[in-house]
This record gives sequence, structure tokens and C-alpha cells, in this order.
Amino acid sequence: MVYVLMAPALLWLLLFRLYPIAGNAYAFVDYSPMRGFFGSEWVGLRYFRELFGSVQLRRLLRNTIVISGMRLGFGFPWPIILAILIFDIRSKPLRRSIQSTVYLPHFLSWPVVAAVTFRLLSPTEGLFNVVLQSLGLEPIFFMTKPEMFRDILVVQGIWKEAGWGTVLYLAALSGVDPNLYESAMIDGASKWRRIRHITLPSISGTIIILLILSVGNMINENFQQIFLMINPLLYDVGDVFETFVFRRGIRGGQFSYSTAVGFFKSVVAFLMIVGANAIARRTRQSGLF
Amino acid sequence: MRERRERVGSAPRLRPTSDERVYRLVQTVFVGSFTVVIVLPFIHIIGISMASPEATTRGIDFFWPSALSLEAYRQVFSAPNIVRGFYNSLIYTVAGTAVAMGLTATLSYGLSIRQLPAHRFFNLLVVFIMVFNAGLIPLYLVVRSLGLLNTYWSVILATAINPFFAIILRNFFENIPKELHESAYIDGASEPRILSSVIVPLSTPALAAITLFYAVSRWNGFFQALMFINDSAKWPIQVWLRQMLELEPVTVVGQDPGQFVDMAPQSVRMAVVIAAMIPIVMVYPFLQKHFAKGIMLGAVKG
Repeated sequence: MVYVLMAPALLWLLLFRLYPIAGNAYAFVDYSPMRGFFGSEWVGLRYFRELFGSVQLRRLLRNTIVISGMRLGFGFPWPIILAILIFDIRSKPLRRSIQSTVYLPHFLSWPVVAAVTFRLLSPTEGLFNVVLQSLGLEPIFFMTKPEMFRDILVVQGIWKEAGWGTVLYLAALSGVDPNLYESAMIDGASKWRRIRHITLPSISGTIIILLILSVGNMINENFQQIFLMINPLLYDVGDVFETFVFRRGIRGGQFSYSTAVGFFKSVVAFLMIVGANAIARRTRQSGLF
Repeated sequence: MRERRERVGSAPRLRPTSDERVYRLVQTVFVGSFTVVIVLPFIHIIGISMASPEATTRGIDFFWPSALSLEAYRQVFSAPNIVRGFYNSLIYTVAGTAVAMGLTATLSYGLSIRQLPAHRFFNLLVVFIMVFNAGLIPLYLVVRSLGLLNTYWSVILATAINPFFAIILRNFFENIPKELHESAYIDGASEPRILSSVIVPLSTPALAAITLFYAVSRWNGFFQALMFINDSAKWPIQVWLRQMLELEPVTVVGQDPGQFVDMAPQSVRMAVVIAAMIPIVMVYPFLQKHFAKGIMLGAVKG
């Protein structure tokens, strides 16, 4: 009986999540739209061999790892620091309003965030360049500079998502027994010591789990963000798997090769996430699932 | 040396020690500058969106325009494609959320019933699709083969069920005492009846939260529409926003380039940005309240 209830959902799962997995068969076929899938020649691993020897793979992999790594390295500590600092704010309304403010960008769409970013970086009217010009300096065409692109992505990502992490850690902090703090204060521990010996260890569980899961997720670059921000000048530093697949496959019609690329990425992502979760489980007896 | 003073019977009150003062300074600087960095762009964008035509032709307004007007908004809301975009976003959001909730709630309910044969299998299945993504092209090809390209349904269906949300709901359902389920069953209620009359009323906070999350996600969605839909009459506002990022606004707002004689594009662009944000901002208080709950629901049971 319950099956009947679940049926539409299961059908959906089948059609839109499982059946597409079979669609990766296109990666093994020299697909020609005219001949259709079954009329196209089976080529086995040809496209994968092509992929593994290609410059593209190196570039896509490098960009993905570097961008995710930078995001992790620069983005990970901020929510923790902020949460600890905000948690201590004595005035409840002030604390609440700050929380609300920093959390808002998380709920905005990427097109909105991208539009704001482009505006701020605009060579003619963006805030940064207006300041530069008023100082007599030349404006910077930010979006044409490959060396800046990854930094822009990272900062943009922090702007959008740090608030979310902060709320998570704040929730974890509120679970810490206040008596621990009090006894530490009575024992004469300074503020910094209290943070080091009480606060941080208490939320270390949350931190570790999030860290492990973030690493596991590293290959799932934030496709939408990059897609909106990138332009051909920046492909060398910013092109990642899914932007490549979208451009070459859906826009460019090179179905077989891009399916191979996409499939490769899906498998690696799967292995990394499962692996990370297994590790997280081992350390803390709980994972995402 | 530090000084302390303790009052018996209440929490110890310390006179600010020197390192506490340093801490307060660090706290203020960090938190303050972070908040400012978050808020400033918004204020700036709102300002630019309200720049009057005279102000923009006069030259660069640094942070806030010298003269205000709602002309940009007037232009935005009288432009047929933008209005259509909002209308489409509404459709995608309402229909998308309804479909998503219908599918997710029934799925999660089924997943929560431990006695169900294949219970483990279904749960593993949902977890599996959460970690293994079939890929962009295969999904595109499936949508195409279903004949859904260029239809509203492609976007509504493509991401209907978010497995993460499904698991959160499942955890919530699992916490509902079995006795309630059983007594309803004994009373002769069918499963759908049990779901609607017993489970749902008990789960309103969780359901409300997930509904809200789906709604936000649908309103903010742009990529599926971009990928599946070529007919600009069906584009949601977010896709128009994205088009604006690359193309001249002349092709976006209205068809007649002459419409832009008086208005600098930037204010119109920013007006579209603000308008696309408004619904999210409006539900924001509810979002915050439910998100905290959502974390608790999902994380605790893990």
C-alpha cells in the first residue's frame, strides 16, 4: 500500500536519477545525431583514453583542485572565527541582527551575487575602480586578469557562504556547557585560554566533520558560480569539469567526449565523498549518512 | 597583573582585564568589518538602482547616487520580457515546490517505515543518488528523449526531489511514535489517509521548513532553465539576470533601443537584481527560523 504512495516518487527517481546513469553509455559510443544512439559505432574506451592523455584533463583537474583548495584554505577558518566572536556578544539583539545580516547572502541566487560582483568590479563604475581613479591610478579590468580570477571566486564564495557556516558553528557553540566557562574564569583563565581550551575542543567534532566532508566534496566545484563568472580569457585558470562539459557537450554538441569527461568526474566525486564519509564516521561515529 | 572581583551568589563579574580588552577590540574589528563588507554592496546596489537619469548622465556617483528616482524600476516593470520572467519564476516556484513536496513527502514517508520490505534498499537508493550524479549530458538527453525540452515541466521535474531534504523529512517521520500509526491502521485507515490525517498535521514544522527551502531553491534556480529552455518566453527572471550579465541591456529590457536614451543601463540592471532578491528577503525571517530547526532535525539523527 505504501508502495502506491511512493510510486510517483520512485518513478521520478528511476527516470531522472537512475536512467541518466545509463545515459553515460554515450561516452562509449561515437555518437552521431543522425544515426542515433543505436546506430552509432561502439568505440569502447577511446574517449577515455583521449581524455587521460589530454591537456584538458590536466587543466580541468588542476583548476578544480586549486580552486577548491583555495576555497577550503581561505574560506574554512572564517566561519569558525566569526562564530566564536559573535557568540560572545553580550547584547542579544545585536548578536541576533548581526547573525541575520551575515546569513542573508547564502539565500541569494548566484545570478544575483554575480551581478553584484560584476558591478563592484566594473572598470568604469565599480567601487574599486572608482577609488583607484580618484587616487589617480589606472582602472583595473578585473575580469580580464587570469591571475585574479581564482581569488575573486574565493572571496565571492566567502561573502556568500561564510554566514551559513557561522550559523552552523553558533549552533554548535550553544551546546557547550556554560559551567565550563565559569569554572575556567574562576580558575583565572584568560579569554584566549578559555577559547583555546574550552571553546575549540568543544566544537572540534563539528569542525572535523565539516572539514572532512568539504575535502570529500572538493571535486564538486561550485559550477554555477564559476559558470556565471567565467569568460574565454579565463578558461585556462577557471575552467572546471562541468563548465567544460556544458560548453563542449550541450552547447557544442560533442556529446560523446563530454559525456566521458562528465562520467569520469562523477565517478571520482562519488569515490571521494564516500571515502570522506567513511573517514568521518570512523573519527566521530557519525557522518552525513 | 590581572584584577578580579567575585560576587558570591551570582556569576563572577570581572573587571575587564587587559587581554579581555584586546579581545573586545579584536571582536569589534572583525565582526564589524565583516558585517560591513556584507552590507555595503547591498546598500550600494539599492542606491544605484534608484539613481535618477540626470544623476547618471552627470557622471560617476561614487557610492550613493546624487539624485534619486524610481525611473529604473518603472522601466523594469514595464518591460514585457522582464515581467514575463517574474511570472515564469512564480510558476516555477509554486508548481516546482508543490511537485517537489508531493514527491518528497510521499517518498520520505515510505522511507520512514521500517517494516517495509526493501526498506534498506530504498534508503540506500536515496543515499546513492545523493552522492552519485549521473551527469549533465545524460540528464539532458533523458529530458530530450521524454520530449520535455523547452517546456516548463523540464525545469519543474529536473530537480524535483532533493535527497538531502528527503532524508531530513524521513528522520522527522521516524520520530513519530509508531503507536499513532498503528492505531490509525487498526481503525481501518488506508495509508494515504494515515499520511494526510495523522502524519502531516504532526509534521507541520518540518514540512513548512522543507517547503520553504524548496521554494527558495526554485526561485533562485537558473541553470536548469538555461540548459533545457530555448524559448525566452519561458525563462525565469534569474535567466534574464544572467543574460544581462553578458549582453547589452538593450536586448533585455524592451525591444526598442530608443527606450534607452534617458536611462543608463546600470540602474536598470540593479533594479532587476533588487527585484529578483525581494521575495527571498521577504521570507527571510521565516527562513532563518526554520533553517535552525532544519539543521537540528537533520543533524541530530544523522
